Amino acid sequence: MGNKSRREFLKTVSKAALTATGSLLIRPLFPNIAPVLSATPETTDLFVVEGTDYRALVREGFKQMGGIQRFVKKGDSVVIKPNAAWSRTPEQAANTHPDIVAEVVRVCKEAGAGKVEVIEHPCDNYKSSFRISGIKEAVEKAGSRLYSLSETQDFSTVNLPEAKILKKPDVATQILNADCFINMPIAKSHGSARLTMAMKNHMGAVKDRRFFHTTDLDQCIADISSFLRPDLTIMDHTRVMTTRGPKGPGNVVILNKVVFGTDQVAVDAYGTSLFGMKPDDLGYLRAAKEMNLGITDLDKINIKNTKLSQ
Amino acid sequence: MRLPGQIGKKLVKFAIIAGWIAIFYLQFHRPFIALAAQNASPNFLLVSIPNFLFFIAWISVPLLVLSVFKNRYFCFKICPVGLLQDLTVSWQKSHPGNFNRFFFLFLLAFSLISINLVGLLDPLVTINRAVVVLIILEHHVILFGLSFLIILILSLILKRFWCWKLCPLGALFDWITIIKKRITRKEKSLDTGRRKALLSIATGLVSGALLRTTRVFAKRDNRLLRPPGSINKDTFSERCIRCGSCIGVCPTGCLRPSLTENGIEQFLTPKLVPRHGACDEFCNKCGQACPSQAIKMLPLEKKKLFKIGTAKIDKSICIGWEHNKLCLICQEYCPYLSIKITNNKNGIPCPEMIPELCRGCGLCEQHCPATPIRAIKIYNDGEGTFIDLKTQEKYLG
Repeated sequence: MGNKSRREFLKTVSKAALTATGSLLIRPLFPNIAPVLSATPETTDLFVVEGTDYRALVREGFKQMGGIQRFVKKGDSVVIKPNAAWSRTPEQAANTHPDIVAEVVRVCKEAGAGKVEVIEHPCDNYKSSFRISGIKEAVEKAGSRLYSLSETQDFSTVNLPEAKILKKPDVATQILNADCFINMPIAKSHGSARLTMAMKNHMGAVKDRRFFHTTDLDQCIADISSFLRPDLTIMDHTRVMTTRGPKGPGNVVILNKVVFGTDQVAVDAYGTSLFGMKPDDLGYLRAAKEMNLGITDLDKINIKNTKLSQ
Repeated sequence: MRLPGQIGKKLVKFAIIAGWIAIFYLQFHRPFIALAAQNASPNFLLVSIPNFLFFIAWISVPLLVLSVFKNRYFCFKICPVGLLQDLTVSWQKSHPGNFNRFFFLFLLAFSLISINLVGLLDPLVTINRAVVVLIILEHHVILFGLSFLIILILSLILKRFWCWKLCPLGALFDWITIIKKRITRKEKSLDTGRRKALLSIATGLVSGALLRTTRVFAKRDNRLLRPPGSINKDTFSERCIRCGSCIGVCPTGCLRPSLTENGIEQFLTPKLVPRHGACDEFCNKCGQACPSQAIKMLPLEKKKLFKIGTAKIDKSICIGWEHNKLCLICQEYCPYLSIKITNNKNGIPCPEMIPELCRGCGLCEQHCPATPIRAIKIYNDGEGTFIDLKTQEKYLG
């Protein structure tokens, strides 16, 4: 090892150091910028399908929406975010019905999706909530996989300059990389948010939920919804927990409905009416209205009801 | 091809050790008592034989019978701790003496005044603890491997030091042999060391009494929570053999070995620490794994009614009550609906306990966002009782 090699070594080290510092300096110049909010259209369509065969409801809903081809092209990667947060059975209505989730997986696969992933950041122990909710088994039978974000810890920090409180959430990387993002919430009562539906379901796609509760829950839900804008929202309304949510066991009402929509705010606004509430009763819908994230005025939502006969 | 004798013997020993570790390892994935008791013939085993007797009948009695005929056969050919020492190198040979027999009596005297040391030093329990370390591989169980490491280090100095000088199980076999020889009168001038024996028992009793006086200094911690199904808190440390099986099976990692913070007598007994995890609603594995039934094997429906403790809300640091935020995470998580919603004076929905329904599972404490001190904590009030179904109906309708 002569002088020359030492000099070369020092050169290499200093170059590497410069590159490292340089990249650190440059990084803030190219943050993950939230998509530019497009102007909210005047009206939106919601499709409500009713029937007891849950798998047929999903098929019918996609038909009404204009076919799965509208959302999923051949080879696309699809991420589905159901509510599988609690170790409760399908009858207790705390999680999205496994049949509905599995059928959406099948529809996406049939449309030629390259990759279909189902993700959830469960509240309860992921093993018991995935097993008891029945979603893991159903999804695997349909040929996909249910990922627990609490295990994979696959999150990326995003910058939300438009947000009021939640400026830098850690969001599931799988959603950021997906071509198509389908949100599949279940509507049910909720202690702090009063009702949990489409927008509230995004809390299962972020890393730190405590931040939401310790700052301003309603505003944070609106903030995350300004960034996570699913291509399609399919809300499970087949069984509805009307009391003691979100975990229950509470009072369960059978409605046998599934709601399809592209505007998640409109889906939530419609959802309140099923509980006998108004959109303005919910704090996060008021915040969404203020941020102009979607349509909250029920008069501007075209609801198309279909009843499937057996 | 014939293997050279030495290597062949070592291979056999290695296989036996591997077998033991496999047995102990398997119990954490499917507790074998539970396997036999629940899957084979539930009615017969659960009704006619209490569980701990069942365990004794299957493991202990055959060993004792074996030792009557073959003295220390178990130690040389079967015991995993013994065989593992054979695999290590040693500086010098150890010679059998009679120290271990009196040491055994000394330890046994402790159990006369309710201090369980024989279980703590048992070789099978020791290897079980070592397997728990292998399974969990986290820093909080490292102490479980300590006794095993000490045995191996001692064996580096004197071959099978543990077996000849300290092991209580080996000493029990030695006593059986001596009594057998006494009865059959093969050796007339047999020195059983009656005086020494009495002296060791007396020393044990005195030391035990001294150890018990530490109870005065041990703080009565109302945060010491036991696994679900645990027997009375005063007798728990007497029954518990510190094998660590419950800690090994716990799927949420809420059970931890306690150190000396609750008194030296609670050393290595399991405690539930809600900060690290909460008792799963659909799990009764610790009761199934416990070989001494310090944690009773409760069916799942009964375990769901078992009270580990009771949660209390400190309203002065609660996110809702004090800081007027929409939190209610504890209400969200509570699997037993034991938290109801009340508005505080500013009209913010806040959590309020129904202590009669709380099982003390710890989910609320685990997820409470109040920092650095959780606003909801589990205390061991009402520990060991069952929730009254009538009370539950009254609250939940």
